[in-house]
Amino acid sequence: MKKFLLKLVAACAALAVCAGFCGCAAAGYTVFDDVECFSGDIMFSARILGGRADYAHRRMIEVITEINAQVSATRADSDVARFNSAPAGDRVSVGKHAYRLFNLSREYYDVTDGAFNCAAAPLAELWRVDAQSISQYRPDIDGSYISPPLPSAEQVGEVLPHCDPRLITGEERDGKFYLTKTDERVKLDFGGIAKGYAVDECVKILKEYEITSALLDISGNAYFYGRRVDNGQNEDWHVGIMSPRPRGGTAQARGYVCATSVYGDASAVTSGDYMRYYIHDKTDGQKLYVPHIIGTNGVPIGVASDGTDWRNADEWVMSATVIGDNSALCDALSTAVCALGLEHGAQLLKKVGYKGLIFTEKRYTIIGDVQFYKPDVYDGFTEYAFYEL
Amino acid sequence: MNFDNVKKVKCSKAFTVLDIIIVAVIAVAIGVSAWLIYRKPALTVTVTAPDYARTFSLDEDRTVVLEHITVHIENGKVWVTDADCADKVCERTGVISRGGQSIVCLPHGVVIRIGGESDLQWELGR
Repeated sequence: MKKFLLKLVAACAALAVCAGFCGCAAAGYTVFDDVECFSGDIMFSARILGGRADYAHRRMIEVITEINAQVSATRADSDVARFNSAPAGDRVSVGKHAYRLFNLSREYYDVTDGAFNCAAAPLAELWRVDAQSISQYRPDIDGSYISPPLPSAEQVGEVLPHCDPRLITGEERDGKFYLTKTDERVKLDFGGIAKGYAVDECVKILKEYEITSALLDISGNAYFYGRRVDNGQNEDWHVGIMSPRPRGGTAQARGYVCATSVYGDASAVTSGDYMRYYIHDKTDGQKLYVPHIIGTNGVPIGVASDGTDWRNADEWVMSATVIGDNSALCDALSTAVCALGLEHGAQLLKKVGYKGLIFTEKRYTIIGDVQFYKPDVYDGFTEYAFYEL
Repeated sequence: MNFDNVKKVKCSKAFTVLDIIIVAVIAVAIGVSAWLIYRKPALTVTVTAPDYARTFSLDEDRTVVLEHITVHIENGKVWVTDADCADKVCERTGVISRGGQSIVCLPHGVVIRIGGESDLQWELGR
């Protein structure tokens, strides 16, 4: 009888272990919902586990606010706005974030052979794809839109030489930072890197406050800090990548093109042509789609010249996801990959050693050991042809 | 040498009936938990309206007729017809088939969503 009792106890223990596996108790992450940061529609959200989560979150918001005060393109009193309106030759005093962002942007301009350009603001304004114009022309949720006029090829050629970060010099003296322009018309816009930079600054805070595991996101710039802890187990982070089509559709209507597994201590950023764009009605009745990302030739991606008029290009990148340890670099690279196109974009990621997923309207490619997560469920990528590098 | 003891051991049954039952129960429990952990998540279609909520399998063809809208599930695709609202945004959403996609009819508060198990921690490109 004693023997039987022992067996029974063993059986109960085995069952308890099984039950433990099945149970999915919520991992104790503290969830911090969307907080408006930077300008208007840019949101910061976080899930934090371990350490002093509340303090870390408060400190992160402080730092993001500090960065925004220096680099905001919409605030007239930001360091960047003061620099942009200053005449050539004036030494403009800027904050440390603006100065560091300039140096990073300058470095990434070289790494990407000019595809990531923090001085493209005059071109963006010419094409009406700058933050202010795009919010005015972006098609409405019900499909209605205003068709803005387009610049001529001559106008683009005239503005292009003024869009070069090498026309700006930085200087650090006695703990103060200065930027000087050598060309009257050159302007700075850190829109393609500021979110990533802010995420990297937040990661430093997570380390400082001894956080175990966290997920940070500033409007699409995600960072996965540490391993995901689920039921005391270390797991990968599973990330869905929204489909870029139908363009203009809500995230719900688009669904996932795929999902990927991220080990941890990495950032993932997606850029594309489907969020910020406008439609131009051509005289021949065709619709020309103009997204906010501008290529090295001064023309937005997806737009080509047929000698006399603009037309939709044959192929361009509609979604580029970059995964790597530095969020600012991921941010810059995802924009650069869109500007460069599938082949050159993939080569750039290979060169830098970051992972990526690139989709054009016809094909997709994978750079590095990107793992599809549940490819039989999140299988939108099967609509495209795989392009072997 | 005590041959009696050897004989006793030889004759005693290796397993009693109770042992077999216990082993079987454990085997079943392991099987069930393994299935729960490793099973392929099937896609589902959840249809909700102010006075209606049901979840269907995406693999089974059916037509759901609601007061203001008709939902069609066929060959792994979902779309709506016969919407009696003014804007017809739901009809213009077209056919959905991927996990995470949904059709929304704001005027009548109808939401049709395709979901696996919500096992993603984040999404990019919203």
